[in-house]
Amino acid sequence: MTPLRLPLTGGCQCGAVRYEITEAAHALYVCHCLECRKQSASAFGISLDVRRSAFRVIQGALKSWSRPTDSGGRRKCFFCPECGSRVWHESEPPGERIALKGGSLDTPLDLSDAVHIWTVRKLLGVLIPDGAIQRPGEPD
Amino acid sequence: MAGPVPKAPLAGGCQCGAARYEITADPVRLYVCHCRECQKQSSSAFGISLIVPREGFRLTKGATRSWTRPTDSGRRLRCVSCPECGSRLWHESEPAEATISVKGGSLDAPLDLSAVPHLWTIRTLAGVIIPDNAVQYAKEPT
Repeated sequence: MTPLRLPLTGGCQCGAVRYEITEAAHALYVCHCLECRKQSASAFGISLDVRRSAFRVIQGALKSWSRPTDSGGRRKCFFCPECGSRVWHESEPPGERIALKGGSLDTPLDLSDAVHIWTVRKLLGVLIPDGAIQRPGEPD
Repeated sequence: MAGPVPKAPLAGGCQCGAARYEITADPVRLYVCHCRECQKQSSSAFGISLIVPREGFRLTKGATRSWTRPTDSGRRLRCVSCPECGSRLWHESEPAEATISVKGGSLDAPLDLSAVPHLWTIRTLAGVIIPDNAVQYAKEPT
């Protein structure tokens, strides 16, 4: 993926929550699953896979809600209690990485090389760039 | 060309299921918006708006909370979400108007975006492809 200038900063829509990332992301996913459609209230979710140790909330408090996953684990979903914007997801118990929600970044992302997952759930009229890596379900 | 706009009755809700709604009047418009506010509210690439007559929309379960922001046009937009999971449900003008904008991904039935208008395409993220036949507006339609 296109390198982004570090540190990356971002936050929720209302500005109450702000964060920074001090290390390049490991991967960038676009996820077309139903849960991502609901969490984004849009067509798909965007996940920037970053190391927890390189991520820091610098302003504001978050609220979380957790849900069971298909694989039998739990996913904890963090959002701004003021405006509701989803900021990141993480495993419960926490793992080494978190999935930062892409639209919350201050710098617009380039999705040209993103990996598209759960394409079996993709909405009609949402087009995937030629050459993009695609997985019908979860990535391996 | 104008895209297919889904007909009533429609139902939807937030991700966690605490908030549920129903739509009993036919929506009047469906569009995709690539503006920065929609990128932030969705934490994704764009927002989806289904414009619905207010009298045909009803919250059937749960509570909501809202946050209000000024718009470029000098008005105010009230943004309504589920207090439990944060999912955005709908936007409405303040003071209230005849229609509200239900956020498309909250609908239970998957939408068909094949031929919907795209707004604020000057903000379209690289790697997001707009279908060839879609009506496009660089900013808001006038």
